[in-house]
Amino acid sequence: MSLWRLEWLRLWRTQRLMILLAVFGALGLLGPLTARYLPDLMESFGEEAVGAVPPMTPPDGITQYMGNAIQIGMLAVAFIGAAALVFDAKPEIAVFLRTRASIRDIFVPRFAVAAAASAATFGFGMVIAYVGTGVLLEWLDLWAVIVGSVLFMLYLVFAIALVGVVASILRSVPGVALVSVGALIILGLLSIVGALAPWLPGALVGAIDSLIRGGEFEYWRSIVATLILIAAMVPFAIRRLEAREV
Amino acid sequence: MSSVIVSSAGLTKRYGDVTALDRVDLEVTRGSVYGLVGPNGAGKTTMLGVLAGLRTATAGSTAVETASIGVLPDTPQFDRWLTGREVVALSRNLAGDPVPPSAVDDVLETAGLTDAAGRRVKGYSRGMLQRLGLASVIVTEPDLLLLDEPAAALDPAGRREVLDLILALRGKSTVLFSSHILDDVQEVCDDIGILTRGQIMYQGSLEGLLNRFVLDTFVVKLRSGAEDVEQALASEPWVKNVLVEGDKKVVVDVADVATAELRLVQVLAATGHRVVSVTKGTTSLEDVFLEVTR
Repeated sequence: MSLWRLEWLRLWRTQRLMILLAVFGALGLLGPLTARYLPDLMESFGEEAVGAVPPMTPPDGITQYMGNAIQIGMLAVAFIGAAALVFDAKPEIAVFLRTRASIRDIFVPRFAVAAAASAATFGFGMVIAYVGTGVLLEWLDLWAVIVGSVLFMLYLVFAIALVGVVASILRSVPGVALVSVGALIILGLLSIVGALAPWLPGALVGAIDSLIRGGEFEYWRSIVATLILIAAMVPFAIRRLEAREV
Repeated sequence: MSSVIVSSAGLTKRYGDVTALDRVDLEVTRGSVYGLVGPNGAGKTTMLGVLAGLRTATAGSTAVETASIGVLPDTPQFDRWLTGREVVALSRNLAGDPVPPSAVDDVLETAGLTDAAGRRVKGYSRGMLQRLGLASVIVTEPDLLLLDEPAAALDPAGRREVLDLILALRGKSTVLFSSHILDDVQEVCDDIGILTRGQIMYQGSLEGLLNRFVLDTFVVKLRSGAEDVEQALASEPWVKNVLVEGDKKVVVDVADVATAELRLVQVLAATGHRVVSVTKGTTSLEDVFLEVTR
């Protein structure tokens, strides 16, 4: 039994992996269904209702999925990341771990497994959304979908790193999850500063929407900034957790 | 190799305005079972936390002459979805030492958890969790065990099992355990430290403590007439104090044991009351603890 296996068991036995799969899977199904049938649905409410919804295009199948993933999916990711990374929530469990392994050895598997699970389950939902869009609307440029998905997965890793930082400050799972989501929202708001926007991790969120609509790849600055932030946040969280008393 | 495995000098720990440890000088001999005794809130858990590296001292220093330390909190908890065997296996693996995998089952058997080893921890009773905690510490074969109230809140059978596990460690490891259950300490400890309000009031061998604070008393049991006996004894110069308990029992605190042994029976005979027994009073750790912490 290693700390890596412990994290895998945590995901599996606590049903957290199934929760993430269910959330992203459902959202992946809902995206193309919404894009395909929302206009028909609105038609049943009359002409005024039809006018309230802009006409749907095939990329909207993915756009709808991303819109839900960034809200509902991100909340699930934050809670599941917090549940793994707040290992000081119960002092007795913290004593068991802290007196047997270094904080780095405890933190890294938790961070990596939570990030990998978040990215993988988001990818699972994206596969459903892509296939659903292809079947119900039109097949989109696969390469654009893959690149856009990888960029959002990088954003998810950033989000988990942020959860790790908050977990080094707070000790409650709900508190850490909600503060992390709040911090992500505030970071997103910073994009109103035009010069700052291309450098923010949040730029990765909208990448897929632009790419599947033929937009240019202009995310290098955001990728570099996000990688630097992740590389800085993980050791920062570890150092803070090392200094914490239990 | 030093004979002292754990020591502290002037160790102080403050939480804001509260001083949890106040210039504590601790010394634990290698291979001993050391009982850190004190009432709730005395600073025992803080002391163990500092020695385990889980808390930082405000002032003073500690020296722990081994890196092989096992720590057991007062109410051990584990991820509820792990089995008992997985908890012990994880502990063994994290220890990093070449402890053979077979040690996991051996330790579970020692802790009386073989039958429950495959069950998830969420179904364990309080006593089982305590024994699992101890098993997860023992499996790493540490040089030093820091146990925080290991038998507190257990039923008599559970307490017995935990104390037996500690007794089995004598000679293999050094055990430093905190407790406010004085009977447990008296039963298993070689050395003792009495901690109260963050200060060490006594430190040394248990035997030395009991001898130092031995109370020179005699307990006299009568058929009747305790008050007459009290009056007769009170006028004797070798008697310090006489305490009457009901009509049939008198506790005599004496200044000179030798004289008391010569004269006590004579004084009793002179009162004309029937004597059932005269016994030398014994000193329990509880008596001493109350004396020291008064």
